[in-house]
Amino acid sequence: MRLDPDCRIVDFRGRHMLTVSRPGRLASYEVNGSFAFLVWKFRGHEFTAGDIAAALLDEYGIPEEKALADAGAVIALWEEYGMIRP
Amino acid sequence: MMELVREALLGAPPPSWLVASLQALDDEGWRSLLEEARRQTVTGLFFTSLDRLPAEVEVPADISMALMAEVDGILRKNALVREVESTVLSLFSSAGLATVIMKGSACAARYPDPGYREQGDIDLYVQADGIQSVRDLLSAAGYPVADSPDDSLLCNVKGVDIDIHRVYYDFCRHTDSLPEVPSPEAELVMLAAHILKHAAGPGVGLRQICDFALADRMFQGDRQALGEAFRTAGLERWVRHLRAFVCDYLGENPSSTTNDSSRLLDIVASGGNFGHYGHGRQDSLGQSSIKRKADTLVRMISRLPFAMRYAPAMTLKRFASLSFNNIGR
Repeated sequence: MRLDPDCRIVDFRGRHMLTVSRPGRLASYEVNGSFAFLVWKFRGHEFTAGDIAAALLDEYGIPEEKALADAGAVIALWEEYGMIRP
Repeated sequence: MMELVREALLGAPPPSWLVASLQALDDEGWRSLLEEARRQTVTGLFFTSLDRLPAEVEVPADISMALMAEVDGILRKNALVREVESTVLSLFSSAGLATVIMKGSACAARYPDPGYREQGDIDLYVQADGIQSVRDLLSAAGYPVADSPDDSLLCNVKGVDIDIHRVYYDFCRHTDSLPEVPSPEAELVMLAAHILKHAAGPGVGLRQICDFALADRMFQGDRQALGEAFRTAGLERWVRHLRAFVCDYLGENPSSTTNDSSRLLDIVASGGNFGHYGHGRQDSLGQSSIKRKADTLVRMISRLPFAMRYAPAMTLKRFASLSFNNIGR
């Protein structure tokens, strides 16, 4: 799996906006800081759920079990937003 | 809005009075500020400035979201412009044509956040003897080329307008005695002439003046040679006026000059980016070419005293050139 290189995060005064290019339009979502961090880190790169969990562990020091659960939730959202490329 | 742009350009902490006045703004006030930034195509600088404000200034959520969406749009448009620029330059280079990028990317590099400078079209300079080759190359690549009244070629590639100039300096037709293209002196002469061309016509916005202000402030060459270049181009008085404006509204020591720049402020404030927001201008832009040109002519005539005051020779040359090209086509 690879995260769409064309998705973007814009940060402004503690807020984060994700934009995803869709055919003929641009979708935008307000996201939280950890979501924004993961998009920054993996944009345009290959990844697995393990990579995302490891990134969450490194950055936030959360328990491994929670990191894996969060990674699954993030991937589900990326799929929902159409950000994952084969 | 001007004060916020000034803070962004200088990278200075905002004065306490500015923080206090922003804290007192209601939603309508914030919307007006954002609208003015859009009119002047300085939303990126506005964003930079607001992003640096202390936490006690609360930017409304809808303004924050609108700003982030707009900055994202600027970043995406700039990426497209860079891609098209690279495609076109490769095309010209493969045919052995020397090309100079005017404004655009060189100006952006001086901005506090280069990616946030809003790029409009791509302005390229090609030596006059290469113009026919440019026309042939673009047409062969499937991009139709049209002639502009100011003697340049116009083309649209993937939605990006390209303006190919055969003269590096707006207004001036005889460039033999001017700095060699693309020296820093040549760029500053061109930026000053470009602002004058639009200020003396439908109008000019703050972005173009920010480009000049940054290039002038960061100029590291010989100031005497630069002054001579402005004088040779017939821009000496105009540049004095422009610098007074920069000093008054965008500089480190506001109001430290005695040169009154209020007339230029009127032009900037009333019309915004290239005068597009001036009274009745939007209507004329949607009309036929003849009506649009008539509207431009009326605006040029109304600003003739202003232009003649600061650059009489260039103003007359511009009138003559535009008349010749419009009658000829």
